[in-house]
Amino acid sequence: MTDQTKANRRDQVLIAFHRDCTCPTVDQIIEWTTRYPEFAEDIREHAAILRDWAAEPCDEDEPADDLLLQRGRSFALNAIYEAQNAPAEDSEESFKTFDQLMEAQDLSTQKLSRSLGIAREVLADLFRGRMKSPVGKRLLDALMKEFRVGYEQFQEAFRYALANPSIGHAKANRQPTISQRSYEEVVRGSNMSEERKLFWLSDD
Amino acid sequence: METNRRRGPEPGDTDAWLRLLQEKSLKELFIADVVAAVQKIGPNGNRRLVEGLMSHISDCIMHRLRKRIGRHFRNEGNDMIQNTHCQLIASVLKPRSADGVALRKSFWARVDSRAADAIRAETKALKREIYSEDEPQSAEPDSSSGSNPLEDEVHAESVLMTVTDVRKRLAFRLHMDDVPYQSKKTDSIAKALGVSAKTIEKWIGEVKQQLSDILGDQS
Repeated sequence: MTDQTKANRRDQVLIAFHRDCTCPTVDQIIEWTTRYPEFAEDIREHAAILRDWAAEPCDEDEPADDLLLQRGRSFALNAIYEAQNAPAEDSEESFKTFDQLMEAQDLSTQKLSRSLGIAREVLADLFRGRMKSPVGKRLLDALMKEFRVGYEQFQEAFRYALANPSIGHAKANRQPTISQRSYEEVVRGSNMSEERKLFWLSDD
Repeated sequence: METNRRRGPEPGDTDAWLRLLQEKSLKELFIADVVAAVQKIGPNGNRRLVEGLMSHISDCIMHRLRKRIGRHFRNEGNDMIQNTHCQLIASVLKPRSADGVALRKSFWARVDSRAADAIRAETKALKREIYSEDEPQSAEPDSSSGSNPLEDEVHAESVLMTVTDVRKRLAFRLHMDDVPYQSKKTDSIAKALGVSAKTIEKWIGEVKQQLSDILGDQS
């Protein structure tokens, strides 16, 4: 996991913690630190701050003074101007990898597998560069819709995955290898029912 | 926080959003819907609308940060608030950035988690600066003690906030929840904080002493 991916993952976990535990109890703290041990320190310190906030007497937001509000609105105008003049590489179209496309839509391989009704291993092979081109039309259309991207952006992520494949599992008698299979081979080799395989292999 | 709010129109319905802006009704809506609208309309959309929506979002972020980041920090927390606000407001118009997505889906949780991060960073910076000092330099607690229980509780709370280590404050709060220092059968403070029971006992002893030193003189 890259540093940026880990930082994004940490943020997602903490957002969920803030949403679900506005006044964390001891069992909630243990539950979350057990579930996400790599972020245990962050969770504990956020829990402490959430408990501080919960102890405050007033539930309503405190009004910020006019000076702060004026500065904030000035920052907002700056943000509009910068967004209008953002160079191409900073624009929305710069995302390259499947991981980034999923993160942008708050998706995961597991969530996609459930919502699309397709074996997770098929998606994993695609995202990890173990599926050769071309991707089946039905899956291509479905993923472009889930990721809210066009054909070119999807292909860009696909090309990146193919150029940076994840190696397969190591075997006892040989080094781990990168094996790439066709879309049909991946689908037929999955644990889906025959009916689902036929569905994903057809174009209509 | 948003129990009396209602859903906004479709994000792309510029006319409806303009009407709401003119009627000054944005505060009646879920803020996440306002974010979704300005992200859909984009920075090059109707200028009055985009500026109006962004100003509203900016104000909401500011009010929330003012509440979350107390005045007991340096410069009354204003620097922390402005830095955090700046980071968040810039990401509103980056709908595929991590913050942009989070503000659209979980606005208040995102603002709060960023506020907490700012508090953590400031607390660590303060600790580094007072490393060689004998006494912590967090703001002095309110020295007045009231004659009624509510005022006493508020005063005790303000004294507790002078404990700079957030883990010690959490340990103390859990202790006040009657959670045991350690237990084989139930959840414990030691397990929650990932330290030994001996450390917990030491921390709570320190906090009690600090509270006693300040409050005890006034009882």
